[in-house]
Amino acid sequence: MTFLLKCVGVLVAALLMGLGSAYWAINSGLGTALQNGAWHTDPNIGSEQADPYARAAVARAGLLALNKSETVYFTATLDDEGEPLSTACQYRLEGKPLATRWWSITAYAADHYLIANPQNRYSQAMNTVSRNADDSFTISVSPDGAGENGIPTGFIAPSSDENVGDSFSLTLRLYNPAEATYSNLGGIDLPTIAKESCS
Amino acid sequence: MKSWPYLIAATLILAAIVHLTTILVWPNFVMSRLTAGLAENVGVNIPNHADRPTSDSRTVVRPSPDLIYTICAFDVSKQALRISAPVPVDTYFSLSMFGDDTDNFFVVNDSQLDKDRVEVVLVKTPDQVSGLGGAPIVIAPSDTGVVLFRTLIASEDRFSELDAVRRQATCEAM
Repeated sequence: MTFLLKCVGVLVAALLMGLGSAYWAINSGLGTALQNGAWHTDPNIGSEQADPYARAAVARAGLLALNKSETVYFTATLDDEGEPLSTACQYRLEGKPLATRWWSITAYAADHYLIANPQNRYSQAMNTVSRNADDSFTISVSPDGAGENGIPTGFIAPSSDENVGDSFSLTLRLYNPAEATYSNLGGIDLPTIAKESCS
Repeated sequence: MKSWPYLIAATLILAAIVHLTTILVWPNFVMSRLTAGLAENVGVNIPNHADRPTSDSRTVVRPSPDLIYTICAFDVSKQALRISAPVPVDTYFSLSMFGDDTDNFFVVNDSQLDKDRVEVVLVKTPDQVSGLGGAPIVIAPSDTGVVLFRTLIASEDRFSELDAVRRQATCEAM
C-alpha cells in the first residue's frame, strides 16, 4: 500500500512538473532567440530548421507564420526600459524607414487576439502612417488611440483607484524584407518604444 | 534502505519525459484542432474565405488586420490537390502551405510570379498525378495541413475589389 502511494505521488509530481514546465516554455513568447532593442524574434520561425521549442511557441502565438525570407515577425512585450507593456499606459514609437516591401505594427491582447476598441483600429502600417520629412514615423499606442498614427489599446480607467491595465504585446511584421534586413535582424534599426504616461 | 533518492530520480525522469512529449506533440495537436475545425465548418480541400480579422476573430492567433485570408485544410492522403488563384494587382499576395507540425514548407508571392494567376498541384508523392499541363508540383511533408492565401488590403477603397479577387481562390481534389 505504501509503495502504491509512493508511485502515485511520483506520477502526480512528474505530471505537474512536466506539464507546468512545458506550459511555461510554450507560453514564453514567439521567438526569443534574437533580441533587437525591445523587440525579439527567432530567425527560424516557420522554417524546417525550427527547434521543437520554437515550433511549440509558433503553435501557441504565431500559427501559420511564414519563414524569414517571406516575412519577419518581431514581437515586443516590454518597452525600452524593460517594463511590461500595459494597456493603461501611453507609448510613443519612433521608427526610421525599414528596408522591406511592406511593414505593419499591430497590438495584441495577452490572449494573442486583436484588442477590442471603439475605433476598430488594430494596427498602423507602411501604407497608413503619416511620415516626417526624413521618412521617419511616430506611432502612438494608448488607451484611446489618440495622438499621431494612433493604435488604441481599449483601456477604460475604472472608477476605483485600481487603475491596473492588462498586459499586451506588439508585433512588427516585415513582408518581403530586403536581404540586408533578414540577414542582419539583430542590427537593423527598429522602432523605439518609450512609455510616456499611465492612467 | 532509503527509497527517497530513487523516488526523486524517478520523478525527475518522468517529468522530463512528460515535458518533452508535450513540447513535441503540441504543434501537431494545435494544427489538428485547426484542420478539424475547418473540416467541420467548411470541409476538407475546400477554401474558406475568412472575414477580415477583428477583435472577435478566433480561428488563428495573432491575425493581421491588414490582410484578408483564404484558408483550405488539405488532406492529400488519397488525392492530389490543385490549388489556384488569381493574383491581385499592385498589392502583396502570397500562397503558402503548412505541414501538420506548423512548418511553412512552401510559399510564393506576387512579386515572384510572372503570370496573373498562380496554380500548383500539391501531392503526397510525385507519382500521385499525371498530365498536369505544366502546373508545378509541391510535395507535402505530411498528409494533412493548411493552404493559406494572404492578400494585403492596399487601401480601404480597394477592399471590395481585392475581396472579390481572393474569393476566386480554389482548392480542388484531383
